[in-house]
Amino acid sequence: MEPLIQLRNMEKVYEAGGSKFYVLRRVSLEIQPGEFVTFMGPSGAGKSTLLSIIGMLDGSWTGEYYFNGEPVHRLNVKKRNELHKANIGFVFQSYHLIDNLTVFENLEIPLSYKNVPHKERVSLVCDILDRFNIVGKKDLFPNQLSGGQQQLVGVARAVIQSPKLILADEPTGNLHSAQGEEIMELFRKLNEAGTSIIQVTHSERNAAYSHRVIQLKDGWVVSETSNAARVG
Amino acid sequence: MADLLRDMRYALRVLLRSPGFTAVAVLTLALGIGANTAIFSVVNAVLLRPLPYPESNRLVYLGEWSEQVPEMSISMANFNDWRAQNTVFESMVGYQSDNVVLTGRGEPERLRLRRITAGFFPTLRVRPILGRELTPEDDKVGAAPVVLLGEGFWERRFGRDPRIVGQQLVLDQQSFTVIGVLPSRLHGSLRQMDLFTSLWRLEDELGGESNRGSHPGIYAYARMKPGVTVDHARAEMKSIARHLDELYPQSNGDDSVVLQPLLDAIVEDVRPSLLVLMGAVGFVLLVACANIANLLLARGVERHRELAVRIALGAGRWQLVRQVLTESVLLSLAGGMLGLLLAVWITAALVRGTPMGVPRMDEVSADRSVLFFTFCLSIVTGVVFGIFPALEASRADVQETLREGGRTGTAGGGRRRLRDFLVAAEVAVSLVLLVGAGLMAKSLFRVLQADGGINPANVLTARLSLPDAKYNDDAKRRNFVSQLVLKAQSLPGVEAAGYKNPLLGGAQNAYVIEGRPLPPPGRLPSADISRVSPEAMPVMGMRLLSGRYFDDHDNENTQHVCIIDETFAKQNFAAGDVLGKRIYSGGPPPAGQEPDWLTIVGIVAHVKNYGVDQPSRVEMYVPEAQRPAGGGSIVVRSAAATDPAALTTGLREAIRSLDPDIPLYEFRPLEDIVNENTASRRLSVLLIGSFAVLALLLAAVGVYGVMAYMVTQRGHEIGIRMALGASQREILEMVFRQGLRLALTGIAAGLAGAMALTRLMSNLLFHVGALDVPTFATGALALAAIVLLACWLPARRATRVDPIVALRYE
Repeated sequence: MEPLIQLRNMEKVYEAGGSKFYVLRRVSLEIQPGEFVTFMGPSGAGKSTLLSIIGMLDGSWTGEYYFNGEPVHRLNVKKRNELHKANIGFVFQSYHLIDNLTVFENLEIPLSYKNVPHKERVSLVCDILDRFNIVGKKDLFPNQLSGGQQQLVGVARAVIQSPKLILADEPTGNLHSAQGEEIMELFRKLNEAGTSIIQVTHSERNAAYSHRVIQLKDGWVVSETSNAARVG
Repeated sequence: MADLLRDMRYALRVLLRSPGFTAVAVLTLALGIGANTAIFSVVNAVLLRPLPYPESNRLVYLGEWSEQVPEMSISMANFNDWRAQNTVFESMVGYQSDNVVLTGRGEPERLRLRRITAGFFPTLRVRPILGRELTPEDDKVGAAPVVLLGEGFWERRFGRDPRIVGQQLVLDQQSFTVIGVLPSRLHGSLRQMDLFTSLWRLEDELGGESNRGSHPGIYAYARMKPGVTVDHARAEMKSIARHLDELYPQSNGDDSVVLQPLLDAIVEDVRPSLLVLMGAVGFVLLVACANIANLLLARGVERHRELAVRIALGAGRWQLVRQVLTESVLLSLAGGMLGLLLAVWITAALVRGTPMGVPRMDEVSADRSVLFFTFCLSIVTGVVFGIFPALEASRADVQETLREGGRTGTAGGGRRRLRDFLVAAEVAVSLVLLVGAGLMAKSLFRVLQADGGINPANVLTARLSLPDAKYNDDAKRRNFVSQLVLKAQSLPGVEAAGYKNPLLGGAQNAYVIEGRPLPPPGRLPSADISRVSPEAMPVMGMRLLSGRYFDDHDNENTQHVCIIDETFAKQNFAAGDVLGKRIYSGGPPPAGQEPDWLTIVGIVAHVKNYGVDQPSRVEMYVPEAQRPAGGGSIVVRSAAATDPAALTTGLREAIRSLDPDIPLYEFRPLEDIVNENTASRRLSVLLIGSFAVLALLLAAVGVYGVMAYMVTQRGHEIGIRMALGASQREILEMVFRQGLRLALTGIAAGLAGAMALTRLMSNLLFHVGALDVPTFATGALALAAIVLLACWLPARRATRVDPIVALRYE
C-alpha cells in the first residue's frame, strides 16, 4: 500500500547573523493510511515544526515530501493549499475557535473555504453537531463553552470535512484529565473509522492511544517505537 | 452572494464587539466623507450637472473679442451678420439685461428684466407654462410692448394667478401686455430674472445696423446643429468675424468672437477654486484613511490568531483579504451614511455662506449623483484604508501565531514600517494642506491690506433708475439728480452726499488724445467712464493726486471737463504734463465737426473697482451735470456717530418727495460691496483652513497612536534600559527621537508635495508666490511642534514605566 506520508531527508533551517540553526535534520519517515502516530520529545525538538510542515502550513524546508503519492516539494503554494484543504484537519492545544463566530459558524468555516454549497454545508454541520452530541450548543459563542466543549468543537471542526489526516498539537494540553481522556477516546474512534492521526504530545498517557511513537531531539528523529500496549 | 452576506454578518459582529474602535473610525470617516460629499455637492451642481435644458451640451455662449477688450458685447449689426452667415447653429439668439421700475401696482418696485430676441426660449427648448412665447412679430420696431413673467415673480407678486395673461404692467412708465409665464426650470442668472421682453423692438436705440461700432450690452446664445463640435463652431465664427473685419475695418478693426460652451461660460470663474477645494478635501479623507488604516493595523495584531486559524482551516489569501476588506468597507459605509447627514448640514452652511455671484449655488442639492458619489467614495475609502491591513493580515505567520506561547501580540518589522509610513504620509499630506491654507490666508491678508483707491467706511449707497419715458431729456435728469443730492445732504446725520453712475467701474469707451495721431481702426485705447456729481469722489474717499475735484461750476454751460486716474495719466502723459490736456471719448472723433473735447482738470488714485485682486481698467470721470444719464447710485457718508444704515428711511422719503414713482433699491453700505469682492476668497480660506486643521488633528492623533503603541510594545525594553540606569531624560529622548524621525520624514515629503501642488493654485494667490518660503517654513515648524506635542504624552508615560513591573511579565 502506498504510504499516506513519506518524508525523505527533510531539513529546516533558520539563518540568523550568518549562523544556521537547524530545526529539523534529515528527517525521513513514512506514515501509512489509517495509522495513529505520536511525535514526542523535549521542547525545541522540532515536533510542532514537523507537524506544521506535514500540515503544509510551512513551505520553507528542503527534502522530499510525498502526500498520498503527490510530491508536495514540487507543488506551488496554490496546489499545496488545495491539497491541505482537501485532506487535512487541525486540532490545536488552545482550541483556536474563532471568538466572534458561533459553534455552528465555526464548524461551517472550513467547508466555506472549500466552496461547499450552502445547503450541503448546513447539512454537514447538522450531522456533525448530532454526531458529537453538541446540537444544543450550536448558537453559543466559544467563550460560553467549557474548555472540553471547546476542544470537542475543535475536533468536530477538524473532522467535518472528512479529512484523510488529522494533525493535533497537544490536543489535551489545556484540559483536565477526564476531558482529555474524552478527546483521546474520540480520536481513537475516528482512527478506527479510518482517519489517520498525528499528534504532538508530552503525555505518555495520550501517546498510548497511538500505534507508533516517534521521538525527536534537536531536530533529529532519535527513535521509533511501535506501541504494543495501545489503548483500546 | 451568500458568502458575501456571511462575510458582512461576521464583519458587523466584529465591529459591534469593539464599539470604541468602531465609533472612532465611523466618526473619523464621517468627517472625511461628509466634507467630501459637501464639496462634491457644490462641484456637482456648479460644474458637472448639465444645464436644465434638453441637449444642453449643444448650447454655446457668444461675445465679441478685441485685443483691448477680450470680452465685450456684440454690436447689433455684427450679431445679425453672425446669425445670417453661420452654418453651424440651429438657432442663435441675443439678450441684454436691464432693470425696470414697476409702477401702478402699489409700491414701485425695481425688477430685473432681460430683453431677448424671438426664439430665445425655443433655442433653450423651454416653453412657457402659461400663455405664449415671444414671436418675431413682437420683436421688431413698432411692435406693441409685451412681456413674459418669470415663475418666481409671478408667484411672489401675483400669487400664480392664471388671469395675469393679457393684463397690463407699467414698466418704466410704459404699458406692457403680459403674454405668458416662463418656468423656473432655468439656469441661475435667467431664473433670477423677473421679466422678459423683446430686444429688437429697441433696435433704433441699440445702434441699429448703421452703428457697427456700438456695443450695447448684447450677448448671444446659440444651439449648435447635431454633430457640430465647439471647435468647429468656433473656427467658423472666427472666420465670419475675420471677413467682417475686412468689410468694416473702421468699426471692427481686428475684432473676433468669443465662443464657449454655455456651461463653461457660466462657471469658468469659479472652476479653479472649486477644484482646489475638492483636492484639499480629498487630502483630508486621505489623512483619515491613513488614520483608520493605522487603527486597523494595530487591531490586526490582536486578530492575527483568528486569521492564522482561518488559514489553517483552508482559507485562501483572497478569502482572508475579502473578509478583512468587508469589515473596512462596512465601516466606511457606516461612516458614509453619517457623513451624508453631516454633508447635508455642511452643504446648507456652504450655500448660506457663499457670496452672491457664485453661479448655480441655488441649484446645489443632494441628488442621485451625490448619493452615488458618496456610496462609491465610501466603498473606495473602505478599500483604500483596508487594503494594507488586509494584505498584511493575510500574511499571518500561521505556525508562529498558533504555536502555544508563540508571539501573538507584537508588531513585526513590516507592520511597524507600514504604520510609520502611514503616519509620515499623514504628516506630509497635512503639511501640503497647511501650506495651501497658509498661502491662501496670506493672499487674503494682502488683499485686505491692499489699497483699493477708495475709503468705504461709513458710506451708504442705494440705486435708482430714471425711466426714459418720463425723464426724457438731459435737463430733467440733471435736475432730478441735483435735487436728490441736495436733499440727501440736508438729512440729519449725513456728512456729505453725492451721485455716481455706475457706482463702481464704468462704461467702456474708446478715447483719443488731442494732437496725437489716430491709432489704426480697432486699436483705439479705451477707459471705464463714470459720471459723478461734484461731491461723489470725496464722499467715496477717492484721493486727489493732482488738480481738483469737480465743482458746481462744471455744468452744462461750462467747458467740458474730466478727471483721470493715475494709471491713465502714466500710460498717456509725461509726469507733470497732464492737467489741461484734452481727450475725446466715444470712439474716433466725428469727421467734419469739432469734437466734444474733455479737458483734464484732475488726477485721482486708481480705484480697483472689481476687487483689489482683480484686473481693472484705466478710469475716467466726467461730471454728471455735463453728461446726465438715466440711472446710478446715491452715495452718502454718514457723520461719525451715525450708523449709515439708519439713513435709509430719510433717503426713501427724500426721493419720494421728488417723485413717488422712483424707488431707491439695493441699500448697501459701500463696505459690504467692497467686502463682497473678497467674500469668495474668505470662504476659500475658511474652508481650506478648516480642512488643514482637521487634517492636522487627525495626523496628531495618528502620531499619538503610533507612539503610544510603540511605548506599549517597547515597555519591556524600556524597563530593561531603566534597570540598566537610563535616566528619564534618556527615555524621553528615545521616544521623541522616533517621533521626530516620523515628523521629519513626513515634513520632507510634505514640503516636496507642497512645492509640486501649490503651483496649481498660483492663480488663486495674490502678491504671494506659490513657493513662499516663510509660509512653507511656518507650516513645517507648526507641524513639527504639533507632532512633538503628540509624542509628549506617550513619552511621559514611557518615563513612568516601572522596571520591576515591566520585567516581571517576561
